[in-house]
Order: sequence, then C-alpha cells, then structure tokens
Amino acid sequence: MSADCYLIGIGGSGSKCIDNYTYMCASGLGPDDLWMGIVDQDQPNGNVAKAKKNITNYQNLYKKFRSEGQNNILSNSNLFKTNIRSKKNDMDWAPIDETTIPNLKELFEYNILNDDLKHLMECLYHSEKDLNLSLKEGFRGRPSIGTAAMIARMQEDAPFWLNIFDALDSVSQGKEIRIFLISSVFGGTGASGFPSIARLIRSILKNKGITENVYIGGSLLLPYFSFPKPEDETDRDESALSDAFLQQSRGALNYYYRLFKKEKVFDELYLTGWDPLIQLNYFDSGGTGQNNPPLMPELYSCLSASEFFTKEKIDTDDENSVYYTSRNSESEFNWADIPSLNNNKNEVKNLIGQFTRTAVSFKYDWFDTLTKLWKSEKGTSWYSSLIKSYTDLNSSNTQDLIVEINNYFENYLLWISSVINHSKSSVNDKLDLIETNQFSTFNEETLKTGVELIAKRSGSKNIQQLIANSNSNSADKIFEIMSEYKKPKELSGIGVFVNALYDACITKEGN
Amino acid sequence: MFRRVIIPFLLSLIILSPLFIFIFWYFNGILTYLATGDGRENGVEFLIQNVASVDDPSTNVDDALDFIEGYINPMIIFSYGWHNLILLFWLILGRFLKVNRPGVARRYKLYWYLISIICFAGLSGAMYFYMDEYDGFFYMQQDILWPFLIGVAILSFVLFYFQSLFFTSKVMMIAIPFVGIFKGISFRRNKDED
Repeated sequence: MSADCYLIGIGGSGSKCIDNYTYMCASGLGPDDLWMGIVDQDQPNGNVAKAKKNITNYQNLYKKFRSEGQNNILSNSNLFKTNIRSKKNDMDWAPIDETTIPNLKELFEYNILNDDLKHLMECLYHSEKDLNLSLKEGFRGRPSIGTAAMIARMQEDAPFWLNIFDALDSVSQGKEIRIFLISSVFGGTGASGFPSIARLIRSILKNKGITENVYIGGSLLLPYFSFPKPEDETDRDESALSDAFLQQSRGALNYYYRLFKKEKVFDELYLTGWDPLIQLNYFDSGGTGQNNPPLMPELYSCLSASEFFTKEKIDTDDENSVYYTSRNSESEFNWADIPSLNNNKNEVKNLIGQFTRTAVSFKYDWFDTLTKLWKSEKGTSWYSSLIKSYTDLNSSNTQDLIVEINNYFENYLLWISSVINHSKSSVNDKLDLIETNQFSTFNEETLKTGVELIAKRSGSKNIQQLIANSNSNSADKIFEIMSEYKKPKELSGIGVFVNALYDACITKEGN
Repeated sequence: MFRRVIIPFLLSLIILSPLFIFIFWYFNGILTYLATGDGRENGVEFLIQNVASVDDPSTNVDDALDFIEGYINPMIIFSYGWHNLILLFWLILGRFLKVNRPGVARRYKLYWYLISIICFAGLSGAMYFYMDEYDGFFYMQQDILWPFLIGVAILSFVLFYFQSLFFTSKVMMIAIPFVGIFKGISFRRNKDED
C-alpha cells in the first residue's frame, strides 16, 4: 500500500524545490500520489508563481494522459507518474494575510501592548528597523521575525493546512502518511517555518492521539549560493545578504541542534550544501523579479524527498536520523555524485535520462511533423503504427495537446539546462551529467535566465551522448521502434505516440 | 542487421525459389533432368514453336536442348542470384543510411530508383551479352530478341518492386514509390460499415 505523501516547500528555496520536484514527478521520480504546497510570505515572488504554473501545467497533462479513454499512456509508465492533488487555490499559504500585510509592530499590535511586553519586543527585535520592516516580500532573511509571524498565524483553519490535518484522520483506518518539508536554513521564511511547521504537526498528532503511521521528514538547504550586494541602499538594509548566510546558518543550526536533541521533530532529516558557493550574477530583493535559476543542491533536496516518499519502510527507532550528501571531486560532478534512490544507484540517471531524451526527440524530431508536415507522412509506417487509427491530427484539440506537450518539454529542457549551467561553483567546475549544448545555449551576460533553447538541433548531435555515461538507443533505433510499435490495448489517442517515444528513449542498463 | 538484412534476405531466397524452380521445371522437368537431362517435352516444344529461328525436324530437339542447357539454365540461376543480390544491397543500404526522424527516408527514393534500374537493366544486359557469348542469336528468331529483353526488364522491375515491398524494413518503406497505395489497401471493414 503506498503512503499518502505531502511535500511542503517553505520560503524562496522551498518554492524553487517545489518547482523542481514537479519536473521530477514528470520524469517518474516522485511517488504515485502527492500533495504539494508552498509556504511563502512573498507570494508575488517569481519563484512561487513559476512553481504554481508548473504544477498546473503538469496537472493538465497528467489529466489528459491518465484519464480513461482520452490519450492514455500505460498506467505503469514512469512518464507523468505522480498524481499531484494540489488545487490551484489552496496550494500556497502566506503566514500574514496578503490584503493587510503589516509590519511586525502591527502584527503584534505593539501600540496597545503593556510596557513590559513592549520592552520584551524591543529586546527580541532590538532594531527599530526590524519592527517597522514591511513583511510584503517575506521576512528578508530574518528567521526571528518569520518565526513570530508564523506561530502567530499558523493555527488558523486555512484550506492549505486542512489538506494535511484532515488527512491525519485517515491514519486510524490504517493509512500511512508521509510529510516532507524543504527549506533553506539561511533565509527568513524557510528557516523560521521549517521547525515551526513540523512541530505544529507533531503537536496536532499528539492531540489526536496518533502515535504511528505518520512520518515527518525534512530537507535543509545549507548556504549554496551567493549574489552580489544590492546597489540600492534600502535593499541593502532590508534584504537577505549572502554575506550573512553562513553566520545565520550557524545560528539556526545551533538552534535546531538543541531543539532536536530535546524533542523528536523529524523522523528523517537531510542536509544539503555546496562548497564553494554558486555565484549568481544578479540580485532581487523579492517580488515578481525574484526568479532565481534552479540549482543542483535543490535537486538533492528533491531527491531526498523522493527517497523519503518511496522507501519501503521508515526507520523510526533511530532518535533522529540525519543524512548528508556531498560530491566526490571539487572540479568534476557526475552521475556518481547523485545519491541513489530505492537502493538503485542508477535510478535517477535512468529516469532523468529517459525523460530528457524524450523531450529532446519530441521537440526536435517530431513536433514539426506532428503539427505541420504530418499530411505528407501518411504513408509511413510510424504514422500507421502510432497515429492513423488512434488520433486525428486534423483536430484542433489534438493539435492543442501536441503544443501543450511540446511547451512542457521545452520548459523542462530550459530547467535542466539551467540547473546544469548555473550550478558550477567556478569556471573550472565541470558538471558532466547532460550535454545541454545539444539543445540549449548558455550566456549569463546577455540573458537573465542564462539559458535559451536552440531552434534547430544539428544532425550531428548524438542522442546517445546526450546523457553522460548512459546507454540508450540511437536516433535511428528510436525511429525504428516508433515505426514498428505494437500498441498495447491500454493506450489511446496521442498517448500511443507519446508512450512509444518514451519507451524508445529508455535508458539501457550497461553503464 | 540480423533482423533488417539477414532475415529478409533469407526469406527472399526461400520465397523466390518456387518461381525459378517452376521456370526450371517448365524447360527441364525435375525428374527428367535428374535422370536423363533430356528436357521437358512441353518446354522443348515451346522453344521449337516460338523461339527457334530454324525449323529442321532432325535437329530441332537437340538445338532446343542445347539452348536450355547452355542459355536458359545458367540464366535462371543468374536471375535468381542477381535479384537476391540486388535486394541484399538495398537492404544493407537501408540499414546503414541514417533514418533517424520522420521525412528522412523519403529522400532515399532516388536510391531505390537507381537500384531498380541497375536491377532490370543489369539483368537484361546480362541476358543479351550471355546470348552473344552462347551464340544464341543464331538460335533465337531475330524479331523476338528485343521484345524478349524488354519483357525480361519489365518482369525484373516488377519482381524487384515486390521484393522491396515485402522485405524492406518499415523505416525505409516510404522510399519505395507508390507504397501508400498498397498500405492503403485494407481487407478489414470500416467500423462505420459494421
């Protein structure tokens, strides 16, 4: 029986991890069933918006591929495997109501507090700036503010939390629940929400008398990137500065250490860091402009979530299991540095590899044919095997779906290229995972995201070399498999084509 | 390689053999050939009536038997080998040409045309030159020589076309002309008709 899984990303890094995890679900690295949510005060943040849009896009495609009789792919296929249950209007939560967005003084109604409490506030938040800081764009790297706001507001019956709290009731019927939190240790919202949320869930479990079948895991991102100091004086005063990350992390870890020693908060805890730090070349204090590129350490956190969700049994005998991972070489990073999943050291490489090949092949080899040139292909074997009797390429619905699939694959390719190209710690650092130059260009100077997909893939590019140290079918063999495909009964619509392509792009054992 | 070249080639060797065995039998008779080598009566009669340029009852049968032995039998074996060899070449070419995306195989239609021209022109040419070598021009009526060679060319083209159609891999199939017509033929009833 698979567990009910819940993944909560807290703060900016947590939101990015939610975005990343959606792609991992698409490539088959997620659990069968999952609810994902974001806790971030900085709701207009570009990272949050991106994650929410990604989840919606994923869900639209999932519905089309997995609804009976539409465009079915195989039910046991890893492609778009996870049923993400999050609903658009309850997948994110801000501790402080967006409409009021006070500062800390207003939040605690400072002006009507008695003198003792006022002094206590001044003692805890000694800077007047802290008390008057607008919380519109999050807690600006100040966990002390975030914790206060978080605890003050988290007890509310927000639909976001009801998703989890209501599910806890099903534990009595033998259901297993796994909740995983991801955040950074150096931010404001993340660092404050990480232990607070876990502890709140623990206290609810205690109140409900639940002692088993609910597991809480967490992944903490230690400082892994730095950015230039903001030019604007106000930003410099109010925002999280990367110079302070290490110091803040030290403080937070010290606090967590003492906390976790005293009480059991997490059944499993994963820590991820990156040394030396990845240098980002721009700064945004928050809001829509804060749309940071995805980075490799976030992928590690996502993998820890997958490990937590998909492992057979969680060992709770250990008081607090703590996991950490690190790369083997300072100058080179390859698939061997990626943690194993389900005791299979190649699982991540195999599934990411298969999905990447599918995306590249769909975009560069098939998209134009499926949308524009298909009429001239009517006599071909691939058309007979995959299209002719199963779907009508003349229909606007089918064409819209093909465009939607292509858009998703494009977004994925941009994402994976971004992860690999941005995650180099130095110019000499070599990330030997995927040959992203087969489908994208990287130029940090001219593009904010740094990455752009190439319009046409050169014929000399070899799909077998797309994934480093991975064995797969050649492009010729992929085309041959597509041409000779025998449709299993379960497939329908454009799902026949997509399933065939995904199967043909499989990673073969041997490397 | 095995699935796309060797297996189809072996199948072609097997499937084409009855046709050539039939032609051999028509002129030689299997048991008669093995026992005496005197040729099959109907085949000999066909040559005397339709092919031989000289009608001399004392030598007609011997001339016909010489023609069968010296020209027809080697040409049957050559044609059988030639067609399968050309098919093998086409299959190997199809295996090693890069067909890695839709629309690519169609570009190789020209190759098919070239190979089919080599096939029928080569066979007709071989028939002509071997006729010269054997001195068959003295045996065959002059006015049927060119219709015979053209007929051989047409039959050779048709045979190679069907060989390609049956033995070419699905990936390369679109490089064969008019393949859509054959692929469009369906013996199943449409759902609407049910």
